[in-house]
Amino acid sequence: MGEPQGSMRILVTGSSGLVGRAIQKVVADGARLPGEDWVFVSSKDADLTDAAQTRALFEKVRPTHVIHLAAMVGGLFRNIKYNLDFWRKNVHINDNVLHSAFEVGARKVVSCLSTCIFPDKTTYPIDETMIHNGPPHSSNFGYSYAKRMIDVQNRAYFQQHGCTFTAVIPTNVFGPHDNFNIEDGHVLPGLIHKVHLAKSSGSALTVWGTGKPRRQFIYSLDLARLFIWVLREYNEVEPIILSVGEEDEVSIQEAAEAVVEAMDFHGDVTFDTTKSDGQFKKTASNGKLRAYLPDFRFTPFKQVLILCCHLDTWTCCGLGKS
Amino acid sequence: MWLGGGDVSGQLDLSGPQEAISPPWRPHPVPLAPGSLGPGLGQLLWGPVLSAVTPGSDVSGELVSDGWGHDGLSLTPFGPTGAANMGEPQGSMRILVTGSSGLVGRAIQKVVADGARLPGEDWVFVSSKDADLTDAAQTRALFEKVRPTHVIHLAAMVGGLFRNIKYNLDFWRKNVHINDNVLHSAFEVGARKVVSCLSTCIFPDKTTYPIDETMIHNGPPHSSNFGYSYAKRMIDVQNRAYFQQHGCTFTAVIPTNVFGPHDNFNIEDGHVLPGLIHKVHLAKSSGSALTVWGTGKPRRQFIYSLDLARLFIWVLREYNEVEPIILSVGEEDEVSIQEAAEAVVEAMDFHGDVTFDTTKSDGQFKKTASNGKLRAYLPDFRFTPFKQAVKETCAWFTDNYEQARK
Repeated sequence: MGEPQGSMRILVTGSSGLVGRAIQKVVADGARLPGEDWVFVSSKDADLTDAAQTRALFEKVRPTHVIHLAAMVGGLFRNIKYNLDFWRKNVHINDNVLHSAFEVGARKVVSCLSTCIFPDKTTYPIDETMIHNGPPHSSNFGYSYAKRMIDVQNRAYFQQHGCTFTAVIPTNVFGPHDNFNIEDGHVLPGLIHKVHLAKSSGSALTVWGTGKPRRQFIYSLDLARLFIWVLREYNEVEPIILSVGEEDEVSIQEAAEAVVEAMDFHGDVTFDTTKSDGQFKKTASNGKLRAYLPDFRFTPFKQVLILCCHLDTWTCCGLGKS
Repeated sequence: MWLGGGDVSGQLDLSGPQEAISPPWRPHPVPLAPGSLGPGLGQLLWGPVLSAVTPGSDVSGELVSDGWGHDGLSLTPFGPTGAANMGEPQGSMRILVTGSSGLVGRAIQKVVADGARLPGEDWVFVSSKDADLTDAAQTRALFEKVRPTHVIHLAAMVGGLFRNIKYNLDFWRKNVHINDNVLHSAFEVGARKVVSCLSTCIFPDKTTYPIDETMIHNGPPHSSNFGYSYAKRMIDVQNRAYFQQHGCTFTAVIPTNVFGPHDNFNIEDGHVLPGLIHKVHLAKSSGSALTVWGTGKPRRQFIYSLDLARLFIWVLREYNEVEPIILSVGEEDEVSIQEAAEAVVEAMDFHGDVTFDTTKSDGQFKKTASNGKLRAYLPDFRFTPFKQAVKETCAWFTDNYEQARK
């Protein structure tokens, strides 16, 4: 692909996923600056668990910047069963991407962590300094440690070579192109899918758990905008939490009610308290983000849901492939 | 022959310190030149067959001894004539030891050769000459040739404080690659057990004392060598993942400060005790004072490499938890650096002055580790007394000064 024409060639791995699609949309909708070359790749382009394939990709694209989203992900039950694979595959992907980026002289890499990797025993709110302060929850320790080690490797690139490889930490992301699989996916897309099915079959909506756990949800398009800001302007190696504030935390019950309202569902809503609640809270501080961007406005939660749940936009929500 | 077939008897004696190094080590086979393989399994590894050796016997043959043996020994278990596969283990266990040329690896070789090998055990010692373990293909080829049932994994990229501070990325990446390659190759060839080697330096920087096996991941390690520390910690994570997903018994030991023959005695790069031994040697030769870095007040638990080797072999055979186990003398045997220096001075009969350069960093003040778990399993294990172990190590260093790593 030759040398970047303008000032930046940005390679985005994991482009076909929830966050990758959102970044594609935001870039296409006008976020792209003159001189920026955006290259979106996915597993079709290279198997990033393979060092040679990854290197070939990076040598072909020669990015100056990388947004690294690709990962092996899965729901709670898959994680519990395959901790080894979640650890190894993700470590391989991350090492291949980070080191290939380093070898082609990329100036910056922004990887993607997750609030689920924080210590299981902790005080709240959690913040960026606390990632390594204790073991993660045991259910998905393989995935969690692999993500944590991105931060370790970032700091090592900085210590040994002065590179600015960094990471963001989103809270619960949701939006079009998510995984809406009820068994495997996350809570909000699961609720959307369930309500859709309940409406079609005239049955009740059954929410798993008590509905009491609390979460901060971030719309994928908002996350995408912030990701691009981090790529351009955030120069610390220590990661940054990207999330709505603590004041916007909602309970699962409130989230379910918002979906019900957005989808105009009039059936019964019940809570299956035999199902696990998962973590009660994961409250994260977005203080660091607010110090940089005091005026950033997140899309209001209910407005997002209306967009996501509207029947006309079903296919763009990727529901067909769940 | 104590490797491969043969039935040299010998039980692992856990009841007390082994006899001292002298009488001199029995001669080992002539280094194996490529293509010079004999036909038998043991010969495959070690060249011309020697008759079965019993302790104390005097075996004729070329003596290439360093007081411990094995110096210059080619550890290649297979050669270009196409001894492609060692076949199924003759007896119950074939144990592959990586990192055999290092401090701990040499000690295990010696303990095994001195009679610890049980009938039916095949011990295969390899080092970087045999395969580059940072390379997945080479590691896999090694494992497919050796087909171990058990692995003692000692190989690592190691270095002193200053190298670690400068190369955290390399210490992280290379060690993660080595560990992943070894663990996964072991898994793929169906090894029943892997015992890896961690270190007390990987524990959380901010912690209470004594530290124990449950505390490894309770906070970040010291920042100076975080690359190395996290790579070692992730061995434990990967062990637990093999157990969770596949039911494998992959585990690890955590020694405190190891010392003994074949250490790295480099004063800049090595650890405190070999550094002191080297310094006293130089001070004696030049008639100058011994200058100990720091105040001498920090405290350490030292474990003699031969004791560690015996315990390593016990872990390999008998310890079946996935959670690691600290291998160390007890808290009551912690000594200060000053006391360690005094033991070296006494062992080497040094009569010059001893001073402390307090401008130099002390390092961590203490790293006191609990050996409660070990004691619950082996209440009667007796460690070689510190002064005796220091004396043996000093004697080895003096006798092998030219070849010693420094």
